[in-house]
Amino acid sequence: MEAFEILVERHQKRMLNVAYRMLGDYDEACDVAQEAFLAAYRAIRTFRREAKFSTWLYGIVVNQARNRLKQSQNQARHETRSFDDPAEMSNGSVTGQVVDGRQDANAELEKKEVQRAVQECIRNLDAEYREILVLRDIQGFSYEEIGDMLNLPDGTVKSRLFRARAFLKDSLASVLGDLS
Amino acid sequence: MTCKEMEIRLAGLIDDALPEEEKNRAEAHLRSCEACRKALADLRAADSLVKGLEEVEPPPWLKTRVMARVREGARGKESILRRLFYPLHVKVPIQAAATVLIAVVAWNVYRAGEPEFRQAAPSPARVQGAPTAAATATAPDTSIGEAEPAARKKQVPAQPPAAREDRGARKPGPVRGAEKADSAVAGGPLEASGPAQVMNGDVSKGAGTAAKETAGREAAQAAAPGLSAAGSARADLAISLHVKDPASAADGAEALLRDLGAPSIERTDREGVVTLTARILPEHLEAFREKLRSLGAVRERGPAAPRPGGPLAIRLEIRPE
Repeated sequence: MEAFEILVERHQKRMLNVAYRMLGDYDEACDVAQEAFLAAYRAIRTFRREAKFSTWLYGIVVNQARNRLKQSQNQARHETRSFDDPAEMSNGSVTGQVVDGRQDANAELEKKEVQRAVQECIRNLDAEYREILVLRDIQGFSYEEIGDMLNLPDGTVKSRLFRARAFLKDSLASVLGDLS
Repeated sequence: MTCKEMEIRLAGLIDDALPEEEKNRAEAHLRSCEACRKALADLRAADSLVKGLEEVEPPPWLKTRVMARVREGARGKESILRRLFYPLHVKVPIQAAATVLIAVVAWNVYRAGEPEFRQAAPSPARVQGAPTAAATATAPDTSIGEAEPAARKKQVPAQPPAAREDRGARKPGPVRGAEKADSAVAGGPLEASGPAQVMNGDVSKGAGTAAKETAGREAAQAAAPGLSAAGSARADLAISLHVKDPASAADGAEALLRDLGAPSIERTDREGVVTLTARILPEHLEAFREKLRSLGAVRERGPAAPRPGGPLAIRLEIRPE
């Protein structure tokens, strides 16, 4: 029990961030992270020693987030959300409209808006691209680890990731304009 | 390699994920293609934006809640015995089953012992006019209430089988409150004859009524010591009374006996013949005879042979004319 508490303490932030980047909703991400830890605790006897524990654990949270996405696909707030809507940020504050270029924009606010746009573009990716992009480009897992988590061959991981990057680049360019 | 083919491979150049051969081909294409160089720059910018996303912090309650639910789940896996008897939960199966089992066992025990209970319990006929000789024989100086349970315990096994059969064949007669009360009177020298009455099978009859003893009756007994037992079998004097209505005449005779201080009156009613058995003091005998004559024709069977100074055991048979 105490050992598991240490594991929760050690991995909770990364687990939460994986879920958050996949779901785009802080509260849902907390819920999914919690469920993922509980699922891990219940299934801990099935953990194979030859596998890496963190890979096994993050595989669970990705799976939980994927299931949650399927459940919430029909929810109105996800269907109707647009870039012009006020959005709740990770710190719980609510931003206003996109900064008007003619105004003196607050740098911090602009940064938040860009981050929100990036998050929204990630959320618009298909789930199979999104989870690989989150795991590789945001969380920095290796291709091998991602292959273990998602039970995919290395070539599939890479091809999906490259496509995810290309889609994201196009999506961001359409929202933010010239990126380079 | 066309720009279309290059588009996906460029994404692999960002983190050097392309195989060496493809990487060389892609770099060669980039040197000659402005659009692909722009695309690669956009890919790097997008990657930079993605990597620049701030991390969110877990709420303080996350770990607490996870561990609370983990502990809750661990409790659920505790031993089955502990779960079955955990007092805060209503464990209907085990507790209801235990209740039913206890009820069934108790019922079976009762049913198995029912004949014994019936034998041991005083029947209404036995109660009528039954002396408490055994009770007083075992504890003559104790109060009635205290003597009664001990008397009941000892009376039942003391009865000979023949006596039990005799009482079992008797018809249960009407129980009269006064008789029942009188039967409970205990104590006094005459009760030393208790063992003889036990042999006659009349011992247990009044034991159950001992609790109905009252202080007034105790006073009456003190006034007439030695009259507590009827002693039906060994009558000093047997009297036949022939009347038109034996039942009402028996009522009158019974009242008369009580008036004469008979503490315990045994009454049986068999085939129209009412038999009263009681003890009275010799000095009351003549008055008793006189009163009986007013009720009907009196015949005395057998000579009265009272013990000197002791009470008379009278057996009065009231028959129809």
